[in-house]
Amino acid sequence: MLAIVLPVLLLALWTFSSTQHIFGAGLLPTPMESAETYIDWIAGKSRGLVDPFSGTWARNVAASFLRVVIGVSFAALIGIILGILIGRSRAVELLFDPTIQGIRPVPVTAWVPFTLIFFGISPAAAISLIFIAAFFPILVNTTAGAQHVSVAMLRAARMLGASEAYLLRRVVLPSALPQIFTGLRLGIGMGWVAVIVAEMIGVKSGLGYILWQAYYWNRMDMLICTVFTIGVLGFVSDRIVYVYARRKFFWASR
Amino acid sequence: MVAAASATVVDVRGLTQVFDDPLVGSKITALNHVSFRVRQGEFVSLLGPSGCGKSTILNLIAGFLEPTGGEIWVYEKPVRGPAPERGVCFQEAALFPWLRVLDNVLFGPQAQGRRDDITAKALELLRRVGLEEFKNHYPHQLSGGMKQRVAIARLLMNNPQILLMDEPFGALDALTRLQIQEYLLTIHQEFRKTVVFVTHDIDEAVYTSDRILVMCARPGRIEREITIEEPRPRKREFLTTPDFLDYKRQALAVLWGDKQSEQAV
Repeated sequence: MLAIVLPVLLLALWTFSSTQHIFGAGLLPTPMESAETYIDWIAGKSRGLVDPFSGTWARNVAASFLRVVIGVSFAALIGIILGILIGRSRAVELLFDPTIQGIRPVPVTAWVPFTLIFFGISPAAAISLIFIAAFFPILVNTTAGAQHVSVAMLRAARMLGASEAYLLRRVVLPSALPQIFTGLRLGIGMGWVAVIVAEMIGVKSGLGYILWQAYYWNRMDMLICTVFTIGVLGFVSDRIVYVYARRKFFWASR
Repeated sequence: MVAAASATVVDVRGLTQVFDDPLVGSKITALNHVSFRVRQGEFVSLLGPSGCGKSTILNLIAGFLEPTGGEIWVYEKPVRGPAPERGVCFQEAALFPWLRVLDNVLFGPQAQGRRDDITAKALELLRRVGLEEFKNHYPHQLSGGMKQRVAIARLLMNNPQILLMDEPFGALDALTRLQIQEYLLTIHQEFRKTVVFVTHDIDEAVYTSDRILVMCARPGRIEREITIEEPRPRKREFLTTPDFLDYKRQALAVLWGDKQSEQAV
Protein backbone atom coordinates (compact mmCIF):
# COMPACT_ATOMS: atom_id res chain seq x y z
CA MET A 1 0.00 0.00 0.00
CA LEU A 2 2.81 2.41 0.92
CA ALA A 3 4.39 1.78 -2.43
CA ILE A 4 1.58 3.50 -4.37
CA VAL A 5 1.50 6.68 -2.24
CA LEU A 6 4.32 8.37 -4.11
CA PRO A 7 3.11 7.48 -7.65
CA VAL A 8 -0.37 8.80 -6.81
CA LEU A 9 1.11 12.03 -5.45
CA LEU A 10 3.28 12.48 -8.55
CA LEU A 11 0.28 11.88 -10.80
CA ALA A 12 -1.70 14.47 -8.84
CA LEU A 13 1.14 16.97 -9.12
CA TRP A 14 1.42 16.29 -12.85
CA THR A 15 -2.33 16.73 -13.34
CA PHE A 16 -2.31 19.97 -11.35
CA SER A 17 0.68 21.55 -13.07
CA SER A 18 -0.47 20.58 -16.57
CA THR A 19 -4.08 21.75 -16.19
CA GLN A 20 -3.01 24.99 -14.46
CA HIS A 21 -0.31 25.63 -17.11
CA ILE A 22 2.41 26.11 -14.48
CA PHE A 23 5.11 25.68 -17.14
CA GLY A 24 3.32 27.85 -19.73
CA ALA A 25 0.41 26.93 -21.96
CA GLY A 26 0.72 23.78 -24.04
CA LEU A 27 4.18 22.78 -22.83
CA LEU A 28 3.25 19.96 -20.47
CA PRO A 29 0.46 17.66 -21.68
CA THR A 30 -2.04 16.34 -19.15
CA PRO A 31 -1.94 12.69 -18.03
CA MET A 32 -5.08 12.06 -20.09
CA GLU A 33 -3.57 13.53 -23.25
CA SER A 34 -0.42 11.48 -22.72
CA ALA A 35 -2.48 8.33 -22.23
CA GLU A 36 -4.30 8.99 -25.51
CA THR A 37 -0.99 9.46 -27.28
CA TYR A 38 0.23 6.20 -25.75
CA ILE A 39 -2.81 4.27 -26.96
CA ASP A 40 -2.38 5.75 -30.41
CA TRP A 41 1.31 4.90 -30.34
CA ILE A 42 0.47 1.27 -29.62
CA ALA A 43 -2.78 0.75 -31.55
CA GLY A 44 -2.31 3.29 -34.36
CA LYS A 45 -5.84 4.72 -34.45
CA SER A 46 -4.85 8.27 -35.33
CA ARG A 47 -6.93 11.07 -33.87
CA GLY A 48 -7.73 12.68 -37.19
CA LEU A 49 -4.19 13.97 -37.73
CA VAL A 50 -1.37 12.18 -39.49
CA ASP A 51 0.89 11.23 -36.61
CA PRO A 52 4.28 9.77 -37.64
CA PHE A 53 4.51 7.87 -34.32
CA SER A 54 1.12 6.24 -34.68
CA GLY A 55 1.23 2.46 -34.39
CA THR A 56 5.03 2.25 -34.17
CA TRP A 57 5.24 1.09 -30.54
CA ALA A 58 5.67 -2.66 -31.03
CA ARG A 59 8.25 -2.30 -33.78
CA ASN A 60 10.46 0.05 -31.78
CA VAL A 61 10.11 -1.73 -28.45
CA ALA A 62 11.05 -4.98 -30.17
CA ALA A 63 14.05 -3.34 -31.86
CA SER A 64 15.48 -1.94 -28.61
CA PHE A 65 14.68 -5.04 -26.59
CA LEU A 66 16.30 -7.35 -29.14
CA ARG A 67 19.45 -5.21 -29.23
CA VAL A 68 19.76 -5.33 -25.43
CA VAL A 69 19.24 -9.10 -25.45
CA ILE A 70 21.86 -9.67 -28.17
CA GLY A 71 24.40 -7.25 -26.70
CA VAL A 72 24.05 -8.53 -23.14
CA SER A 73 24.15 -12.16 -24.34
CA PHE A 74 27.49 -11.65 -26.07
CA ALA A 75 28.79 -9.78 -23.02
CA ALA A 76 27.61 -12.62 -20.76
CA LEU A 77 29.14 -15.34 -22.94
CA ILE A 78 32.58 -13.75 -23.01
CA GLY A 79 32.39 -12.10 -19.58
CA ILE A 80 31.47 -15.32 -17.75
CA ILE A 81 34.10 -17.50 -19.44
CA LEU A 82 36.85 -14.92 -19.04
CA GLY A 83 35.76 -14.04 -15.49
CA ILE A 84 35.93 -17.68 -14.37
CA LEU A 85 39.39 -18.09 -15.86
CA ILE A 86 40.67 -14.81 -14.36
CA GLY A 87 39.20 -15.79 -11.00
CA ARG A 88 40.87 -19.20 -10.95
CA SER A 89 44.17 -18.71 -12.78
CA ARG A 90 46.91 -16.34 -11.67
CA ALA A 91 48.43 -16.39 -15.17
CA VAL A 92 45.17 -15.44 -16.90
CA GLU A 93 44.61 -12.76 -14.28
CA LEU A 94 48.03 -11.22 -14.90
CA LEU A 95 47.46 -11.40 -18.65
CA PHE A 96 44.04 -9.73 -18.74
CA ASP A 97 43.25 -7.93 -15.52
CA PRO A 98 45.53 -4.85 -15.77
CA THR A 99 44.29 -4.06 -19.28
CA ILE A 100 40.66 -4.62 -18.34
CA GLN A 101 40.94 -2.44 -15.25
CA GLY A 102 42.53 0.23 -17.42
CA ILE A 103 39.70 0.26 -19.96
CA ARG A 104 36.86 -0.18 -17.48
CA PRO A 105 36.72 3.41 -16.11
CA VAL A 106 36.02 4.84 -19.60
CA PRO A 107 32.32 5.85 -19.56
CA VAL A 108 30.26 3.90 -22.07
CA THR A 109 29.17 7.14 -23.78
CA ALA A 110 32.80 7.83 -24.72
CA TRP A 111 32.70 4.79 -26.99
CA VAL A 112 29.81 6.14 -29.09
CA PRO A 113 32.01 7.87 -31.73
CA PHE A 114 34.10 4.70 -32.09
CA THR A 115 31.09 2.46 -32.62
CA LEU A 116 29.74 4.91 -35.21
CA ILE A 117 33.05 4.96 -37.08
CA PHE A 118 33.34 1.17 -37.04
CA PHE A 119 29.71 0.24 -37.70
CA GLY A 120 28.13 3.37 -39.19
CA ILE A 121 24.48 4.25 -38.67
CA SER A 122 23.33 0.69 -38.01
CA PRO A 123 21.99 -1.65 -35.32
CA ALA A 124 25.51 -3.09 -34.99
CA ALA A 125 26.63 0.25 -33.52
CA ALA A 126 24.02 -0.08 -30.77
CA ILE A 127 24.76 -3.75 -30.10
CA SER A 128 28.50 -3.18 -29.81
CA LEU A 129 27.91 -0.30 -27.39
CA ILE A 130 25.58 -2.47 -25.27
CA PHE A 131 28.24 -5.17 -25.31
CA ILE A 132 30.86 -2.77 -23.95
CA ALA A 133 28.47 -1.45 -21.31
CA ALA A 134 27.32 -4.86 -20.05
CA PHE A 135 30.65 -6.66 -20.32
CA PHE A 136 32.47 -5.05 -17.40
CA PRO A 137 29.92 -5.55 -14.60
CA ILE A 138 29.41 -9.16 -15.71
CA LEU A 139 33.14 -9.82 -15.87
CA VAL A 140 33.98 -8.18 -12.54
CA ASN A 141 31.20 -10.01 -10.68
CA THR A 142 32.02 -13.35 -12.26
CA THR A 143 35.67 -12.94 -11.32
CA ALA A 144 34.76 -12.12 -7.72
CA GLY A 145 32.36 -15.08 -7.59
CA ALA A 146 35.00 -17.46 -8.94
CA GLN A 147 37.59 -16.19 -6.48
CA HIS A 148 35.36 -16.77 -3.48
CA VAL A 149 34.51 -20.43 -3.97
CA SER A 150 34.98 -22.10 -0.58
CA VAL A 151 38.31 -23.87 -0.17
CA ALA A 152 36.59 -26.86 1.47
CA MET A 153 34.36 -27.32 -1.56
CA LEU A 154 37.30 -27.17 -3.98
CA ARG A 155 39.20 -29.67 -1.87
CA ALA A 156 36.14 -31.93 -1.64
CA ALA A 157 35.80 -31.94 -5.43
CA ARG A 158 39.51 -32.63 -5.95
CA MET A 159 39.65 -35.55 -3.53
CA LEU A 160 36.51 -36.97 -5.15
CA GLY A 161 38.51 -37.17 -8.38
CA ALA A 162 37.53 -34.01 -10.28
CA SER A 163 39.95 -32.74 -12.93
CA GLU A 164 40.62 -29.00 -13.13
CA ALA A 165 38.29 -28.59 -16.13
CA TYR A 166 35.54 -30.55 -14.37
CA LEU A 167 36.09 -28.44 -11.28
CA LEU A 168 35.54 -25.21 -13.23
CA ARG A 169 32.38 -26.49 -14.85
CA ARG A 170 30.72 -28.28 -11.95
CA VAL A 171 31.97 -26.47 -8.86
CA VAL A 172 33.35 -23.01 -9.66
CA LEU A 173 30.64 -22.05 -12.18
CA PRO A 174 27.61 -23.10 -10.10
CA SER A 175 29.16 -21.69 -6.95
CA ALA A 176 29.72 -18.32 -8.67
CA LEU A 177 26.32 -18.24 -10.41
CA PRO A 178 24.52 -16.12 -7.79
CA GLN A 179 27.15 -13.44 -8.16
CA ILE A 180 27.22 -13.86 -11.94
CA PHE A 181 23.50 -13.06 -11.93
CA THR A 182 24.18 -9.92 -9.88
CA GLY A 183 26.59 -8.93 -12.64
CA LEU A 184 23.99 -9.82 -15.24
CA ARG A 185 21.43 -7.52 -13.61
CA LEU A 186 23.91 -4.65 -13.52
CA GLY A 187 24.87 -5.45 -17.11
CA ILE A 188 21.26 -5.34 -18.27
CA GLY A 189 20.83 -1.96 -16.55
CA MET A 190 23.93 -0.64 -18.32
CA GLY A 191 22.68 -2.21 -21.55
CA TRP A 192 19.50 -0.08 -21.42
CA VAL A 193 21.59 3.04 -20.91
CA ALA A 194 23.73 2.12 -23.90
CA VAL A 195 20.85 1.22 -26.23
CA ILE A 196 19.11 4.58 -25.70
CA VAL A 197 22.31 6.56 -26.23
CA ALA A 198 23.21 4.56 -29.33
CA GLU A 199 19.75 4.82 -30.87
CA MET A 200 19.53 8.57 -30.25
CA ILE A 201 22.66 9.09 -32.30
CA GLY A 202 23.47 6.13 -34.47
CA VAL A 203 20.38 4.06 -35.32
CA LYS A 204 17.15 4.88 -37.13
CA SER A 205 14.83 2.73 -35.03
CA GLY A 206 14.20 1.83 -31.42
CA LEU A 207 13.10 3.80 -28.36
CA GLY A 208 16.19 6.01 -28.31
CA TYR A 209 15.44 7.06 -31.89
CA ILE A 210 11.79 7.76 -31.01
CA LEU A 211 12.92 9.79 -28.00
CA TRP A 212 15.14 11.94 -30.18
CA GLN A 213 12.45 12.35 -32.85
CA ALA A 214 9.93 13.38 -30.17
CA TYR A 215 12.36 16.00 -28.95
CA TYR A 216 13.07 17.14 -32.53
CA TRP A 217 9.38 17.53 -33.35
CA ASN A 218 8.71 19.10 -29.94
CA ARG A 219 6.32 16.31 -28.95
CA MET A 220 6.34 16.46 -25.16
CA ASP A 221 3.55 13.85 -24.99
CA MET A 222 5.66 11.38 -26.95
CA LEU A 223 8.71 12.17 -24.80
CA ILE A 224 6.73 11.27 -21.70
CA CYS A 225 5.40 8.07 -23.30
CA THR A 226 8.86 6.98 -24.42
CA VAL A 227 10.59 7.67 -21.11
CA PHE A 228 7.80 5.78 -19.35
CA THR A 229 8.25 2.82 -21.71
CA ILE A 230 12.02 2.73 -21.23
CA GLY A 231 11.54 2.74 -17.47
CA VAL A 232 9.01 -0.08 -17.57
CA LEU A 233 11.16 -2.20 -19.91
CA GLY A 234 14.25 -1.72 -17.75
CA PHE A 235 12.29 -2.64 -14.66
CA VAL A 236 10.67 -5.70 -16.24
CA SER A 237 13.91 -7.10 -17.69
CA ASP A 238 15.61 -6.69 -14.32
CA ARG A 239 12.70 -8.36 -12.49
CA ILE A 240 12.70 -11.34 -14.85
CA VAL A 241 16.37 -12.02 -14.09
CA TYR A 242 15.94 -11.27 -10.38
CA VAL A 243 12.97 -13.58 -9.88
CA TYR A 244 14.64 -16.33 -11.91
CA ALA A 245 17.82 -16.02 -9.81
CA ARG A 246 15.86 -16.02 -6.54
CA ARG A 247 14.14 -19.26 -7.49
CA LYS A 248 17.24 -20.94 -8.85
CA PHE A 249 19.68 -19.91 -6.14
CA PHE A 250 17.54 -20.55 -3.07
CA TRP A 251 20.52 -22.42 -1.65
CA ALA A 252 22.75 -19.33 -1.70
CA SER A 253 20.74 -17.37 0.88
CA ARG A 254 21.21 -20.16 3.46
CA MET B 1 45.49 -58.53 16.77
CA VAL B 2 45.00 -58.71 13.02
CA ALA B 3 45.98 -55.08 12.54
CA ALA B 4 49.42 -55.69 14.04
CA ALA B 5 50.34 -58.10 11.29
CA SER B 6 49.05 -55.88 8.48
CA ALA B 7 51.11 -53.89 6.02
CA THR B 8 51.90 -50.21 6.41
CA VAL B 9 49.50 -48.09 4.36
CA VAL B 10 50.42 -44.56 5.38
CA ASP B 11 54.05 -43.80 6.09
CA VAL B 12 54.81 -40.31 7.37
CA ARG B 13 58.55 -39.65 7.48
CA GLY B 14 60.12 -36.66 9.19
CA LEU B 15 57.32 -34.29 8.27
CA THR B 16 58.19 -30.64 8.84
CA GLN B 17 55.84 -27.87 7.85
CA VAL B 18 56.85 -24.23 7.97
CA PHE B 19 54.33 -21.48 7.18
CA ASP B 20 55.02 -17.83 6.50
CA ASP B 21 53.37 -15.55 9.00
CA PRO B 22 52.22 -12.59 6.90
CA LEU B 23 51.53 -10.45 9.99
CA VAL B 24 54.90 -10.72 11.68
CA GLY B 25 56.83 -11.50 8.52
CA SER B 26 58.49 -14.44 10.23
CA LYS B 27 58.07 -18.18 9.84
CA ILE B 28 55.98 -20.53 11.97
CA THR B 29 56.96 -24.15 12.40
CA ALA B 30 53.60 -25.95 12.40
CA LEU B 31 55.10 -29.43 12.42
CA ASN B 32 58.55 -30.49 13.55
CA HIS B 33 59.87 -33.87 12.34
CA VAL B 34 56.67 -35.83 12.71
CA SER B 35 56.89 -39.53 11.84
CA PHE B 36 54.34 -42.30 12.19
CA ARG B 37 52.86 -45.23 10.33
CA VAL B 38 49.33 -46.42 9.88
CA ARG B 39 48.65 -50.05 9.07
CA GLN B 40 46.01 -51.55 6.80
CA GLY B 41 42.57 -51.38 8.44
CA GLU B 42 43.82 -49.47 11.44
CA PHE B 43 41.89 -46.61 13.08
CA VAL B 44 44.39 -43.99 14.23
CA SER B 45 43.48 -40.70 15.91
CA LEU B 46 45.55 -37.54 16.00
CA LEU B 47 44.54 -35.94 19.30
CA GLY B 48 45.70 -32.53 20.42
CA PRO B 49 44.84 -28.91 21.21
CA SER B 50 44.08 -26.44 18.44
CA GLY B 51 47.22 -25.20 16.78
CA CYS B 52 49.16 -28.44 17.27
CA GLY B 53 49.19 -29.12 13.54
CA LYS B 54 46.92 -32.17 13.50
CA SER B 55 44.76 -30.82 10.68
CA THR B 56 47.90 -29.82 8.80
CA ILE B 57 49.05 -33.46 8.90
CA LEU B 58 45.71 -34.55 7.49
CA ASN B 59 45.82 -31.94 4.70
CA LEU B 60 49.32 -33.11 3.84
CA ILE B 61 48.28 -36.77 3.64
CA ALA B 62 45.26 -35.70 1.57
CA GLY B 63 47.60 -33.90 -0.81
CA PHE B 64 46.01 -30.47 -0.33
CA LEU B 65 49.34 -29.06 0.87
CA GLU B 66 52.91 -29.83 -0.10
CA PRO B 67 55.29 -30.61 2.76
CA THR B 68 58.15 -28.17 3.25
CA GLY B 69 60.19 -31.02 4.68
CA GLY B 70 59.90 -34.79 4.93
CA GLU B 71 57.82 -37.22 2.92
CA ILE B 72 54.48 -38.99 2.96
CA TRP B 73 54.13 -42.37 1.33
CA VAL B 74 50.77 -44.00 0.77
CA TYR B 75 50.72 -47.55 -0.56
CA GLU B 76 54.45 -47.22 -1.22
CA LYS B 77 54.01 -44.19 -3.46
CA PRO B 78 54.80 -40.60 -2.52
CA VAL B 79 51.72 -38.38 -2.23
CA ARG B 80 51.32 -36.00 -5.18
CA GLY B 81 48.08 -34.10 -4.77
CA PRO B 82 44.58 -35.32 -3.85
CA ALA B 83 43.24 -38.63 -5.16
CA PRO B 84 40.03 -40.63 -4.71
CA GLU B 85 41.92 -43.45 -2.90
CA ARG B 86 42.27 -40.98 0.01
CA GLY B 87 38.76 -39.81 0.91
CA VAL B 88 38.51 -36.75 3.13
CA CYS B 89 35.73 -35.87 5.54
CA PHE B 90 35.81 -32.18 6.46
CA GLN B 91 34.87 -30.22 9.58
CA GLU B 92 31.88 -28.81 7.75
CA ALA B 93 30.33 -31.40 5.46
CA ALA B 94 31.39 -29.40 2.34
CA LEU B 95 28.46 -30.71 0.33
CA PHE B 96 27.64 -28.89 -2.91
CA PRO B 97 24.60 -26.79 -1.91
CA TRP B 98 23.23 -26.56 -5.48
CA LEU B 99 23.04 -30.35 -5.85
CA ARG B 100 20.42 -32.64 -4.38
CA VAL B 101 21.59 -35.25 -1.87
CA LEU B 102 21.67 -38.01 -4.50
CA ASP B 103 23.64 -35.84 -6.95
CA ASN B 104 26.13 -35.00 -4.20
CA VAL B 105 26.71 -38.71 -3.65
CA LEU B 106 27.06 -39.25 -7.41
CA PHE B 107 29.62 -36.43 -7.81
CA GLY B 108 32.71 -38.64 -7.35
CA PRO B 109 31.97 -41.34 -9.94
CA GLN B 110 30.62 -38.73 -12.35
CA ALA B 111 33.81 -36.68 -12.01
CA GLN B 112 35.74 -39.80 -12.92
CA GLY B 113 33.53 -40.41 -15.92
CA ARG B 114 31.97 -43.62 -14.68
CA ARG B 115 28.73 -44.57 -16.40
CA ASP B 116 27.90 -47.93 -14.80
CA ASP B 117 25.16 -48.60 -12.24
CA ILE B 118 26.26 -45.77 -9.97
CA THR B 119 22.73 -44.64 -9.05
CA ALA B 120 21.84 -48.02 -7.55
CA LYS B 121 25.02 -47.99 -5.50
CA ALA B 122 24.41 -44.41 -4.37
CA LEU B 123 20.90 -45.26 -3.22
CA GLU B 124 22.24 -48.30 -1.38
CA LEU B 125 24.80 -46.16 0.44
CA LEU B 126 22.17 -43.55 1.30
CA ARG B 127 20.03 -46.34 2.72
CA ARG B 128 23.00 -47.48 4.79
CA VAL B 129 23.37 -44.03 6.38
CA GLY B 130 19.59 -43.88 6.83
CA LEU B 131 18.92 -41.08 4.35
CA GLU B 132 17.42 -42.80 1.31
CA GLU B 133 14.16 -40.89 1.64
CA PHE B 134 16.10 -37.60 1.62
CA LYS B 135 17.69 -38.26 -1.75
CA ASN B 136 15.86 -35.38 -3.44
CA HIS B 137 16.46 -32.88 -0.63
CA TYR B 138 18.99 -30.10 -0.84
CA PRO B 139 21.80 -29.88 1.75
CA HIS B 140 20.36 -26.76 3.42
CA GLN B 141 17.24 -28.76 4.26
CA LEU B 142 19.26 -31.24 6.36
CA SER B 143 20.56 -31.08 9.93
CA GLY B 144 24.29 -31.04 10.66
CA GLY B 145 24.41 -34.76 11.47
CA MET B 146 22.50 -35.66 8.30
CA LYS B 147 24.88 -33.56 6.20
CA GLN B 148 27.87 -35.42 7.61
CA ARG B 149 26.17 -38.74 6.85
CA VAL B 150 25.64 -37.62 3.24
CA ALA B 151 29.31 -36.57 3.14
CA ILE B 152 30.28 -40.06 4.35
CA ALA B 153 28.06 -41.70 1.73
CA ARG B 154 29.62 -39.44 -0.93
CA LEU B 155 33.05 -40.58 0.24
CA LEU B 156 32.24 -44.29 0.30
CA MET B 157 30.84 -44.00 -3.23
CA ASN B 158 34.44 -43.67 -4.44
CA ASN B 159 35.45 -46.72 -2.44
CA PRO B 160 38.53 -45.03 -0.96
CA GLN B 161 41.09 -47.26 0.77
CA ILE B 162 41.85 -44.58 3.35
CA LEU B 163 39.46 -42.25 5.18
CA LEU B 164 40.96 -38.99 6.38
CA MET B 165 38.64 -37.29 8.83
CA ASP B 166 39.23 -33.75 10.04
CA GLU B 167 37.14 -33.18 13.20
CA PRO B 168 34.09 -34.20 11.19
CA PHE B 169 31.73 -34.32 14.16
CA GLY B 170 33.02 -31.27 16.04
CA ALA B 171 29.96 -29.15 15.26
CA LEU B 172 27.38 -31.77 16.29
CA ASP B 173 25.54 -32.07 19.58
CA ALA B 174 26.64 -34.84 21.98
CA LEU B 175 23.91 -37.36 21.13
CA THR B 176 24.08 -36.94 17.36
CA ARG B 177 27.82 -37.19 17.66
CA LEU B 178 27.61 -40.51 19.47
CA GLN B 179 25.23 -41.90 16.85
CA ILE B 180 27.43 -40.88 13.97
CA GLN B 181 30.53 -42.24 15.72
CA GLU B 182 28.74 -45.58 15.83
CA TYR B 183 27.98 -45.25 12.12
CA LEU B 184 31.64 -44.64 11.47
CA LEU B 185 32.72 -47.63 13.56
CA THR B 186 30.28 -49.86 11.68
CA ILE B 187 31.62 -48.61 8.38
CA HIS B 188 35.21 -49.08 9.50
CA GLN B 189 34.44 -52.60 10.64
CA GLU B 190 32.45 -53.62 7.61
CA PHE B 191 34.38 -52.00 4.76
CA ARG B 192 37.79 -52.62 6.35
CA LYS B 193 38.93 -49.06 5.80
CA THR B 194 42.06 -47.49 7.15
CA VAL B 195 41.09 -44.36 9.09
CA VAL B 196 43.14 -41.36 10.15
CA PHE B 197 40.95 -39.30 12.45
CA VAL B 198 41.72 -35.80 13.70
CA THR B 199 39.99 -34.67 16.88
CA HIS B 200 40.40 -32.59 20.02
CA ASP B 201 37.78 -34.68 21.82
CA ILE B 202 39.48 -37.24 24.09
CA ASP B 203 36.34 -39.39 24.53
CA GLU B 204 35.89 -39.59 20.80
CA ALA B 205 39.49 -40.63 20.27
CA VAL B 206 39.43 -43.33 22.97
CA TYR B 207 36.05 -44.69 21.88
CA THR B 208 36.88 -45.03 18.19
CA SER B 209 40.61 -45.65 17.85
CA ASP B 210 43.06 -48.54 17.78
CA ARG B 211 45.82 -46.10 18.46
CA ILE B 212 45.91 -42.44 19.58
CA LEU B 213 48.81 -40.18 18.69
CA VAL B 214 48.72 -37.39 21.28
CA MET B 215 50.11 -34.17 19.88
CA CYS B 216 51.49 -31.01 21.46
CA ALA B 217 51.83 -27.52 20.01
CA ARG B 218 54.66 -25.04 19.35
CA PRO B 219 56.11 -26.76 17.47
CA GLY B 220 53.55 -29.42 16.51
CA ARG B 221 54.87 -32.87 17.39
CA ILE B 222 53.69 -36.30 18.50
CA GLU B 223 54.25 -36.49 22.23
CA ARG B 224 52.91 -39.90 23.00
CA GLU B 225 51.25 -42.96 21.51
CA ILE B 226 48.42 -44.72 23.31
CA THR B 227 47.18 -48.11 22.12
CA ILE B 228 43.54 -48.88 22.92
CA GLU B 229 43.26 -52.63 23.51
CA GLU B 230 39.45 -52.70 23.72
CA PRO B 231 38.17 -55.32 21.24
CA ARG B 232 35.87 -54.50 18.33
CA PRO B 233 33.04 -54.04 17.71
CA ARG B 234 33.08 -51.40 20.42
CA LYS B 235 30.03 -51.20 22.63
CA ARG B 236 28.50 -48.11 24.21
CA GLU B 237 29.22 -49.64 27.61
CA PHE B 238 32.94 -49.12 26.94
CA LEU B 239 32.33 -45.38 27.45
CA THR B 240 31.74 -45.86 31.18
CA THR B 241 34.27 -48.59 32.06
CA PRO B 242 37.36 -48.06 34.27
CA ASP B 243 39.52 -48.96 31.25
CA PHE B 244 38.00 -46.07 29.31
CA LEU B 245 38.74 -43.65 32.16
CA ASP B 246 42.27 -44.95 32.42
CA TYR B 247 42.94 -44.31 28.71
CA LYS B 248 41.40 -40.90 29.11
CA ARG B 249 43.65 -40.16 32.09
CA GLN B 250 46.74 -41.12 30.09
CA ALA B 251 45.77 -38.78 27.27
CA LEU B 252 44.91 -35.95 29.65
CA ALA B 253 48.25 -36.28 31.42
CA VAL B 254 50.04 -35.59 28.15
CA LEU B 255 47.74 -32.72 27.19
CA TRP B 256 47.92 -31.08 30.63
CA GLY B 257 51.66 -31.48 30.68
CA ASP B 258 51.68 -29.48 27.50
CA LYS B 259 49.59 -26.72 29.06
CA GLN B 260 51.92 -26.47 32.09
CA SER B 261 55.06 -26.28 30.02
CA GLU B 262 53.33 -23.62 27.95
CA GLN B 263 52.64 -21.53 31.06
CA ALA B 264 56.26 -21.96 32.13
CA VAL B 265 57.31 -20.34 28.86
